[in-house]
Amino acid sequence: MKKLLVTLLVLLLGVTATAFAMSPQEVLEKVDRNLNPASYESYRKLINIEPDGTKREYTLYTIKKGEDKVASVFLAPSSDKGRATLRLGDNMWLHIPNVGKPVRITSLQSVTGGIFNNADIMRLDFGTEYGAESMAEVDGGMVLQLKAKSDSVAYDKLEMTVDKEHYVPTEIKCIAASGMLIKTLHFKKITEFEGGRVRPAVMETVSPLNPGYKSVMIFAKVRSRDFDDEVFTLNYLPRIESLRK
Amino acid sequence: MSLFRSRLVLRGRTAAVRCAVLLLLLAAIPAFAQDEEYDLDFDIPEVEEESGLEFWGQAELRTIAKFLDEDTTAYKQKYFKKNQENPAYEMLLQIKPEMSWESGDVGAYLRPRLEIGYSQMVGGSSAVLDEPSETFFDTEKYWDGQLLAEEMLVRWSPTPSVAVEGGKKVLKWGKGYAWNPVSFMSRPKEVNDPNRSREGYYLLYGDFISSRDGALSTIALTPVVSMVDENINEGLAGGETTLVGGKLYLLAYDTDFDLMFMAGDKYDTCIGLDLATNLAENFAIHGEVGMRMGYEKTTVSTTGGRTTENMNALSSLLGMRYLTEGDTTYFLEYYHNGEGYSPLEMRRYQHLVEKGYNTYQNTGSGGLLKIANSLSPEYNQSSAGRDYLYFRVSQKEPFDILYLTPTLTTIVNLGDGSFTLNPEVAYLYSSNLEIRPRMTIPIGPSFTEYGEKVNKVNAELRLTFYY
Repeated sequence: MKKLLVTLLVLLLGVTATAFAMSPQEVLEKVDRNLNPASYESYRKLINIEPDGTKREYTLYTIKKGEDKVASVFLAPSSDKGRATLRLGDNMWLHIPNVGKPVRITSLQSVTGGIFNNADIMRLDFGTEYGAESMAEVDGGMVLQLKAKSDSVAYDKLEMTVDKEHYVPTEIKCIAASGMLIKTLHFKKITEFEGGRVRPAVMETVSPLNPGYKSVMIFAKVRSRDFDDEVFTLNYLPRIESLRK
Repeated sequence: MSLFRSRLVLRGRTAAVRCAVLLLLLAAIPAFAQDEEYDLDFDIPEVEEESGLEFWGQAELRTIAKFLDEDTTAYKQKYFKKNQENPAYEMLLQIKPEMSWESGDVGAYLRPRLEIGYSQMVGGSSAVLDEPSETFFDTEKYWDGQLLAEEMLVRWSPTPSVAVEGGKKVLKWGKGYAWNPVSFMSRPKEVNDPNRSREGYYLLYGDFISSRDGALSTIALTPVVSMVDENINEGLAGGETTLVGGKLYLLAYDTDFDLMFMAGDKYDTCIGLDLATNLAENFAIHGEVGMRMGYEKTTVSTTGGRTTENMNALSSLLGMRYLTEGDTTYFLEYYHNGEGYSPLEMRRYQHLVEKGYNTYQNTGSGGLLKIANSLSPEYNQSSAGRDYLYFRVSQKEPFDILYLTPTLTTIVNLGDGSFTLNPEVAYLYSSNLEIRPRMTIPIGPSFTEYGEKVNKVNAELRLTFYY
């Protein structure tokens, strides 16, 4: 019995030691890779929920390559169909079919309305935009303090609670440079995706700036896929949906 | 009695507690259900694997009330011997289905437009801008209809780096919102409604893209060939000809650059460049410079004498977009129209119309008005002046009303100081219905551009249904 207890203690210490043997930045990188492959395609449903329970839903197809290339196109509803966004590092563009050419947009704008902004929809790896400054242990995981690497990032600081078992976020607090809490992201429903990737399938967003409102992002078919660099260009943007075919 | 009462009170309290517990439970059930209701296997609009065909579109109904200013030269010129109702009402139903088909490296896209309009304006709806393939109700006084293809093309794209398209296409060159001095192969925008889709031109179009790491991250070359004859692309050039043009796009140092040209017989050679970049995360700038070489500009004197000048018309645009923390967007564009008329040239034309109208009233002779009418397409076109300012303020979702965006726009003719005020509200009532009431109010003294517009006030309600 004593032997068993000692073994368990050693194992527990080992697990804890493994986590804290990693630097905050290494934990962040592990979180990034567990959330998404370096290059991938995915489908997402965005749901805006108003205080009276009214919902509005959007379906997006998203592709990403490397550290700083992301493109998305709305598949539904029909009022937004074909609306495509491209992000190359800090550069973001929006293409609205028929009515105009791609225009530069900012990370703070929202292409859908609701609490989500463009930075949420075209998010790069956390490690690309933020540096992990410190890490503290909490019950069941750890809390990373992240600081934006440049002024062009939507939120100055992130406080990320990481699940120790799966190394994925369970909660992220988005904080402005003034220290004001802008929004909180709750990650839910740990799910196994194609290729054995285990990550949260649902991200809920609430904001003290919009009490009563909630936005939900549901992930589906997250899978590794490599793309040519030319896909992530303004010229290709109107054709991005053809990648699904 | 008191015991009974206290038991009754106790029973009442117990019942109240039970009710409260029940209510709490009932309240908790939806909360719990809401937590569980996310469908992880949500519907994804599937691509039809076998046919590769997709179909969607929109239908738009516009009802317009035009309150006309009968003292303006534009009114006198248009309706000098016609009985025009005032106010005049218009209604326009526009149906735009979109179809796309894709199979391997090839694809096709079609966007026809069917318009049916009712207008009390003598001479028909003011909304007819493009060249319809078919027209209906030609003998009707108030009704008209038209059918055309805005875009109709086939595409071959063997790799993401290469695409070749042929057919009718809308080329969107330039970075400006209200104006595009480098948009050499597109129909001009209506500055009061720049987002309104227009008909394309028939052309052959290539797209060759190269992407790389480094400061110069994208290079894209877009050659264009187009033909003009009496049935195709009429109005793009002075007669039958073949036009050759192209655009070179560079993304360098986080800035978009475009260089473009268009040339051919019976066509004024055009060259231009544009750029756009973000100076901060909430502050973007853009600009365009375009030159039309050998442009023939015709001006007219107050007595009807015409002068034609051959010139290289240099037009330019500078714009900025600024977003505040409160989601207010400020948008500003300055436009210099090198082909435009100076305030003096505009005044001369308006005096000619005024003189022609008075002559007609006094003598019945319409000679001067005939001269003025022959130059009306140039002098009365959108943004016919030389220097303009476009300023727009929009507030996203004020008072926490989702999907609502009120906007106030003003367009100022800097030469004569006249301007137009365009308040507008866009509300996405449901996922497939947008409601957009808007007004256009031209303001200015006599013999200025906006002071002499036909409309005193233009009020419009636009309903767009997406399917």
